[in-house]
Amino acid sequence: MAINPNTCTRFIQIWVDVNALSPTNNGSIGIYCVDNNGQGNSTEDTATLTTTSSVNSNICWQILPLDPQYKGTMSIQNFTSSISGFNTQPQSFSQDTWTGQTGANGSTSPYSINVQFQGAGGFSSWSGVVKGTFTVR
Amino acid sequence: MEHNISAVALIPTVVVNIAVDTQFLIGQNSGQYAGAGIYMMDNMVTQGSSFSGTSKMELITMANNSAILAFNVQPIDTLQGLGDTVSIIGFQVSSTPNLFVGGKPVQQTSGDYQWLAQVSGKSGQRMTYQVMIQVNSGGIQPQIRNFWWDPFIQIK
Repeated sequence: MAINPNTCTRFIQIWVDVNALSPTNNGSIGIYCVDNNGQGNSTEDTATLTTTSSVNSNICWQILPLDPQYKGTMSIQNFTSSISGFNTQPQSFSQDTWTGQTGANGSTSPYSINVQFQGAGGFSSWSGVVKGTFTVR
Repeated sequence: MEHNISAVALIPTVVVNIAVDTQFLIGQNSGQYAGAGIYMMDNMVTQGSSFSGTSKMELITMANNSAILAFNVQPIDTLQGLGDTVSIIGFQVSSTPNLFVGGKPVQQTSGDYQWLAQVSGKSGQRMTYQVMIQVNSGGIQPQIRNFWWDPFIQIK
């Protein structure tokens, strides 16, 4: 059973500009990842976020449309990472929200999130990969 | 001439979004802000929107003449349920020309967009505007902090 987001302390939002999505850019532009780690770094507000957190912290990833009137769907399809960085591998809490728990101190886990967008009425769809890195301190 | 912008009648083509690390900012002093915890983005990157320098707060939003712009802000930790909130409390225009029709964006009382504006100008014209947000920590003894900074809008 997935961890409830209301028990999480580290949040990663993946904001999506659907205007920028195309089969050729594969998410290289138009995807903005931010977190609440309070530190900030050069990867904030980019498609490849590096996040830090403490040991045994519950983590939440949420994907959102930048334009709230986007009528299609956005979903996290799959989440892959090296096992060392997480006690609980991220799991789906809902279509757009995944949660997990960090592992041992000093571990670093690159991860990939497979995301999918389906335009309203099924007229268009886009699949891509969002890559990030998680470090436990 | 007075201009009224209604969320019911107008659909913005430009959406400027601000994601805020509210818990971090509550630990800071109110004031002009140039560091971590506030992140801007828009849906016009394919039209040339970019960041000025390395700060993610100095967003240059590209907009067509007569475009409707929306401005939204929300906490990054919304799903935690701590009750912390953030809102845009105002705009100032700190350069000439002022490209906002009517002078400033208009706060909305309902709908998906918190503030709406229309811009008017010639291709290549750029203005600096100031956006001010208020962070409220919620909880038993709510703490309030105000921050402001100066991004840009440029007519495409």
